[in-house]
Amino acid sequence: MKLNFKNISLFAGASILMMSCSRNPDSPGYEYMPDMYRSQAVEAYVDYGLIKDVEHEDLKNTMSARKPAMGSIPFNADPEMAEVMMPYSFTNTEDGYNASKGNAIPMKYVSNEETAIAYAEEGKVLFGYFCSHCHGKTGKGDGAVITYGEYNAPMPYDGGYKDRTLGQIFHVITYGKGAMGPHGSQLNKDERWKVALHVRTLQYGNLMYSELMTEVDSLNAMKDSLKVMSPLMIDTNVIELPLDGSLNHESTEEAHH
Amino acid sequence: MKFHSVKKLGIICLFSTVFALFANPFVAQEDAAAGKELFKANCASCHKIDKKSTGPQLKGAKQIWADAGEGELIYEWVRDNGALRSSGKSKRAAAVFAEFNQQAMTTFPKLSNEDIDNILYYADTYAPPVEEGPVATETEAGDTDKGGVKMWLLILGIVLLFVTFAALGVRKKLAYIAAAERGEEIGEEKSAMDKLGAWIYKNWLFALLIFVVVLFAGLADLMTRLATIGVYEDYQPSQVVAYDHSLHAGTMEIDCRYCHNSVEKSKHAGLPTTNVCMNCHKVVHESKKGTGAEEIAKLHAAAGFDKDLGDYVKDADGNVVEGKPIVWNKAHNLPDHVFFSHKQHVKVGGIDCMQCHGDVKTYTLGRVSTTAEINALVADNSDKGLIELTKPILTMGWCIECHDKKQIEVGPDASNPYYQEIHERLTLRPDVYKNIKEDGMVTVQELGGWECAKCHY
Repeated sequence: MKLNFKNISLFAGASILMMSCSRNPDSPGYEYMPDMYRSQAVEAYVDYGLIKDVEHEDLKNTMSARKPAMGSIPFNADPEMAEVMMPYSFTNTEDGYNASKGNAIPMKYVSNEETAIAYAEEGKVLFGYFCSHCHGKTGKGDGAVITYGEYNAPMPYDGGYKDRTLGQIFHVITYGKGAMGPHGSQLNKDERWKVALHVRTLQYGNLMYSELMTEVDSLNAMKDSLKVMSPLMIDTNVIELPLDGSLNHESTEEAHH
Repeated sequence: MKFHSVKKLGIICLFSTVFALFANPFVAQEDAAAGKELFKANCASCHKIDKKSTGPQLKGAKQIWADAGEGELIYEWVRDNGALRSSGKSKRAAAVFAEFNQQAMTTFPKLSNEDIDNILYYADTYAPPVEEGPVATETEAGDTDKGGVKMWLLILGIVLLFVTFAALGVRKKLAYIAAAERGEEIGEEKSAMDKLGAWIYKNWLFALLIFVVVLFAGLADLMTRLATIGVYEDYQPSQVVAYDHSLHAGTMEIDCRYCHNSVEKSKHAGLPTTNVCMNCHKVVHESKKGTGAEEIAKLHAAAGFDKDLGDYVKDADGNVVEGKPIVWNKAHNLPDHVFFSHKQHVKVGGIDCMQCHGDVKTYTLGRVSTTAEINALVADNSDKGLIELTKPILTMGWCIECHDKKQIEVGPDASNPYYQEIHERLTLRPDVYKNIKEDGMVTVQELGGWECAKCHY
């Protein structure tokens, strides 16, 4: 082959053409039998927008994550567990937080010392997944997120947060407090109690079982004296008891109008 | 005597002036140091010194209270803000409470006036450390330049190609015209195909050789291309939000399960909903180097969060006005005719994430790892029980290879009750159990891990 102008330019042209045909990096590539690969129904995180094997661009990924319906309760055959999973009655307010001090841990978790310690151990694993990157492995507020980002450090559990009760810890995990966000969507109620037990272990160095039981007993006794069967029965969103007789006042006012 | 006492007084005065001049800064130094310690222990979880955070900025706070004529009440506020608010004697207290979404401050009954003074003195005298100039932005600019140059070269190439062909055509035409002008007879022009045919006829052996080589090369290429169909090794699709795994899971040591928290409860590992991102990003609006602000702004838009307001944007009914949800591109695509459950593998089987996903702590965006990469990790992660495999990742060959090799602990004391149950059942058929245990180990395949209907139904 002669090395003339024509040949060189042809070669250059061909290589430019070949270079311009590169794969789309967002395409996963070819697949065998797309009708078996692609679900016609909408699956979690997969939506090809298919109707009778025809793709519809405007249908793709139109669904996002949905919240469960208000007041839905996960099914549980175990009645004790079912009670734990009942909707949480304390509100996401300062009053709700203060009131949650009276929320005693269900007896299931603290029926005896060994059980309580075993649950706290389970909580330790969950603490490692969900808490330790900020609060630190030992709860000193020195997690990697804090040390790397130089962010607001949470107070140590055995320092500034030592007076928090299990009910309050549960409330904070559910709704968050200060710079901490709500973790209710990541940890269910069962898991939150377990984590709270582990946090108590970090507060005092051990679970302090006998002191814990004194607390729980007094809270339960208080509830009985108030003739409130369980915190589940109060929903401050729904029932607002007029303590100062204002309800009557309003109704009489309405009657006047 | 009188003179002496005056002299004495003078000396005392002199000394006290000198003492006052020199000693005051020393006292102040101690104040700031003590204040720093107190600030870190008590205030830092909600307050920043020079920025609004969960609570107001502390720099200048004392001045603001003093300006409001309530300089003395700030101490009461810090110790028990609730009591001060309900007493109604402070307008400033009510204002702060209203400004920060009616969030009550933690009470600090143990702090004395002196402690509070120290903290506020530390805040007022605080100077942020000076940081090095931005280096990252320069490299980014370089990268975009490179992309631009490549595109311009391509355009230039195409233009040159056009010019070349046009010139060739013109040259040919001119040659004909010249020949016609000279009066030469123009013979019937031979087509390119005719020329090629003549050349092949003349050099048939060489042509045959070329044909055979091209044929086999083509076939080999076809085979390798067919073998890549349905293999997604090293696939890393782009994402709307440039999330960085190496920063979050690597540097900041956030566990995989924090975001992918359904991995032990569901078939899906789960993509985090924006509320999970917002757990941190309601406070974190950019990295400490000032990068990432653009990406986090996209997240805020999707979640309906206003960072200047420090709260979610709500409509008249108090519902959060969410933006358009973030659409993540799926990296790990499994065909619809395969059933796979993360729960079974992670919770029951105790398989580490690394066995299938590689060292995610080194990735930026989500990505399909490669078998070779994961094999290289086996030696350094002996605690994770990884095994080496040969087939490409996320193919059926890879699945059944692992089901064949992976040893599981079955017995009355198995760490997972699932395998205790299997042990119980197998004891009812001692002949089968003996057969399984013959080689001294139990694999997934021996418990039915190769049954078609295990994954395809």
